[in-house]
Amino acid sequence: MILRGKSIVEGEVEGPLVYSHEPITFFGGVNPESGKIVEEGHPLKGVEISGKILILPRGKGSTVGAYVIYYMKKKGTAPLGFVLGRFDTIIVSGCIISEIPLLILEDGEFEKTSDDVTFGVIRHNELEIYDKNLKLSRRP
Amino acid sequence: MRIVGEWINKFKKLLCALGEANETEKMIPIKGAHISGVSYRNIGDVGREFLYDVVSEGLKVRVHTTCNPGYTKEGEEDLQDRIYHNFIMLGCEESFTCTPYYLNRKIKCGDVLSWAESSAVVYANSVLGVRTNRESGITALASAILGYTPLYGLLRSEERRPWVRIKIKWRDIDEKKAGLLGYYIGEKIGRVPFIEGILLTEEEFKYLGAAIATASDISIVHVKGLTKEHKWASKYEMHTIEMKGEELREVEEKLSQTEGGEAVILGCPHLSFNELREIAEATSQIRRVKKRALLFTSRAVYSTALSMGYIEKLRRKGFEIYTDSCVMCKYVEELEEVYTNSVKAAFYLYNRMGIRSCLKSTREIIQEVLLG
Repeated sequence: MILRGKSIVEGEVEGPLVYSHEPITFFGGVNPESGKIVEEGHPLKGVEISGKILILPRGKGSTVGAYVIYYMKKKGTAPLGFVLGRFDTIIVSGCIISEIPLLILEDGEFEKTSDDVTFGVIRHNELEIYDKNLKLSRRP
Repeated sequence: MRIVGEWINKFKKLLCALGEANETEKMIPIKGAHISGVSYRNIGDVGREFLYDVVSEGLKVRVHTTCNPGYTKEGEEDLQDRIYHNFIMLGCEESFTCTPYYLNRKIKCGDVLSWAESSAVVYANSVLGVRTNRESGITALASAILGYTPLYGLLRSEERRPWVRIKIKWRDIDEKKAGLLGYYIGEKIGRVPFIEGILLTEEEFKYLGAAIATASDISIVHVKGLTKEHKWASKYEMHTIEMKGEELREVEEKLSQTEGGEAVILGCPHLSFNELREIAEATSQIRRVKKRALLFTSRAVYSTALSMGYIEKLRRKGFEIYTDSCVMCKYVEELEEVYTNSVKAAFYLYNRMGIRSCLKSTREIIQEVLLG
């Protein structure tokens, strides 16, 4: 399935997908050393986001988050790419200065995703999502 | 090798990209900026070196600029001082607070600012009627240096409109309940609210705003009878939700995780002059507080309170008073459980440092914990 959006930071990346129904705060909600979500009560608590494509509805919380993303990029724990349901200055600016590919989805596109998909590719103005096993089996 | 002019160009590109993402090429001059990302504990050597590089380029802020407080672990004070020094070299005001709206500087309704610090952004937009987006520490720094910001988001009237009318069906409110209400709206509703049916003081609003910003990306809140644009905002057609008060129990259970505490922590966001005075007056009849109590405020509020004798009164009772610091500092780090009136503090103290909070209103804390 292909989700349409707007590339804010260009770059093609392919990797495992972490799909968050809930917003994420990078300061306080993510441990930048381990790359894991640590917020108490967050549905993805304990999940590692390093080297993955993170898809989330929007940001929340501290404005220090942009520094945390930059810090994670320098330490090698940052996500591979970001896909946002709604514009967020903190995440967007963190990705711009860290040069991490970032896509903002068109209205209604975020809701089309599901937990079943495991892999994604960010390209210019789109995110392709697929089940890795199915895709591999289709390949010759 | 470092290229001279690297960061000024990156800052220009950053603001252009921010504009592009919001379909605007228009840049608008700002009257002031407030920067977050000041703590060595939070930005580490990566952030410290970045700031050093920016200063080494000879860059200066073009508008009046304030900064958040910083904090760090025991033994790393020197590294924190170097970060402070970099901000002073950039030309920022030498006062580190999360409540820049309490500084002795006139901010006018309608001023365009570029503020980071999510709690201050909500307060400024709502109570003062200024226009600022919830900037990141880095975009606020870029705008401070360039003197402009893209014309997007809350700088446009139509994006300041409320989407949900929240009718409050209970009467009593305090700092804790205001915070729980803010967190609930942020987490469960997630759109700009128009709140009616409750009388809030500006201080209570501060706790509501800080909590709503913790739980969401909401950066303006309209409250009937309190906020600057409430009359304009009330005219929009909105979906209405009634709240009886019991909705807040779930949030309270999540964030108030203990029945006791080793110390009282007040000042997240930094205490106002009125709050300091009220704490001093409410404890005037006792010789000494029954529990260790740490108060956090800004230099500006501290000096006003000092000149009026309140600081001396508070210190004599045993209060510890800190300026240019934060509730997440090294003095709190060694604790396991604290009393606080701030939902925002409870959230970050637990998720960043594993410290559990017992949430109470200021009045409850004074009467039940400090007067004993």
